[in-house]
This record gives sequence, C-alpha cells and structure tokens, in this order.
Amino acid sequence: MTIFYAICYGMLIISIFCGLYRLFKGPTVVDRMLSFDMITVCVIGLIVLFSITRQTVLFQDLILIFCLMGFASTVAFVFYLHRTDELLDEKKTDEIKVKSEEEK
Amino acid sequence: MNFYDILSSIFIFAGCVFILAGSIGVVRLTDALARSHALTKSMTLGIILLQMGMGVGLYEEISGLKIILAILFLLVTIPLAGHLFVMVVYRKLVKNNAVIIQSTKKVD
Repeated sequence: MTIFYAICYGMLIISIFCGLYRLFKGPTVVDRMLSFDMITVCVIGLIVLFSITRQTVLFQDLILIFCLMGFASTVAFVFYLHRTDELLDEKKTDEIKVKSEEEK
Repeated sequence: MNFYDILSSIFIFAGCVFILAGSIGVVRLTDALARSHALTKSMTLGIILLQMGMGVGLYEEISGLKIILAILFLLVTIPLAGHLFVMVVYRKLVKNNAVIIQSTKKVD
C-alpha cells in the first residue's frame, strides 16, 4: 500500500514539474497564468493524498482555502491584463508585427 | 483491507492519472487555447476523483459535507478560470494575429 501511495505522489510531483516547465518557457503571459492554475490544482491533490495517508480530516479547510485562493488569483490576473495592451515581450511583439505586415 | 479501501484506491489512482494526462497536455500542445482545453477538463475530473477517494477512504460521515462543498466549488471555479483564460487570449492575442503565427512557428 505504501508503494501505491508513492506512485500517486510521484505522478502529482511530475505534473508539478511539467507546470514549472511551462511556467519558465511559456511564450505568452496567458500560458504562465495557466500553468500557475495547474500548479495550484496539483497542490490541492497533494494535500488530499497527504490527508489520506495520515488518516486525518484536519486539512479539508486547507483544501477549501486553496481553491478560493487559486480562483481569486486567476480573476485578479485577468482584471489586470484587461487594462494592459502589451501581453507579449517587446522583441516578440515586434517580430510578430513585422511578420503580419509582411504577410499582408 | 476491505471493500472501501479498494474503492478509494481505484478513485485515487484514476484521479492521479487524469491529472498527469492534463499536465502532459499542457506541456506538449501547441498554443494557449489548446493548453487551456487540456488543463480545464482533465484537471476538473482528476481533482473530483481524488476527493471522492478521500471521502470514501476516511470513514467520516460529517466531513463528507465539506468534501461535497469542495467538489461543488471546484466544479464551478476551474471551468470558469478556463473561460477567463480563453477570453483573454481571444480579446488580446487572436485579434492581433499572434497566436496563429506562434503555433505555425512551433510546428515547423
């Protein structure tokens, strides 16, 4: 049974590292926001697994708080990004503008 | 090891597999719209299966109410967050023809 829980922890930790990869390499800001949301969900999964292996119900309030914080951070990012015009990095924006003008 | 332990183990394993599949989709798909698709659906199903396994495996009747509350909250908030991502991508990036160019750059 310990090996089973170790495999489940391993899957969630691998998914957290996938989210970190996308967080470092994401080309736009939206990808970074999305990977942050994914890491939040994976942390909720880790809390669930921890409370199952310890056989306690102490961490359920923590699960609710993490859900609320992830959703609130997503809404805050979206309201912030609606006010700005430049989502991409400056070099990439210039390249894309040049390319779209060439295509036209 | 009785029936409930086996049932909760099946739920937990299925939830972890769905979360891993969603993260692999986030890494490997090409543009932001496809990534938000891969994130939202599989993450919702995976986290709901994990919490169902927790509720079956812990033998606590009263804490089931909190688990149901958390499941309903996640079922509302994760697709809503995905909808917000897609709204930002459509209003800011698709209209500037940026997402399409990036996805074609990454394929070749």
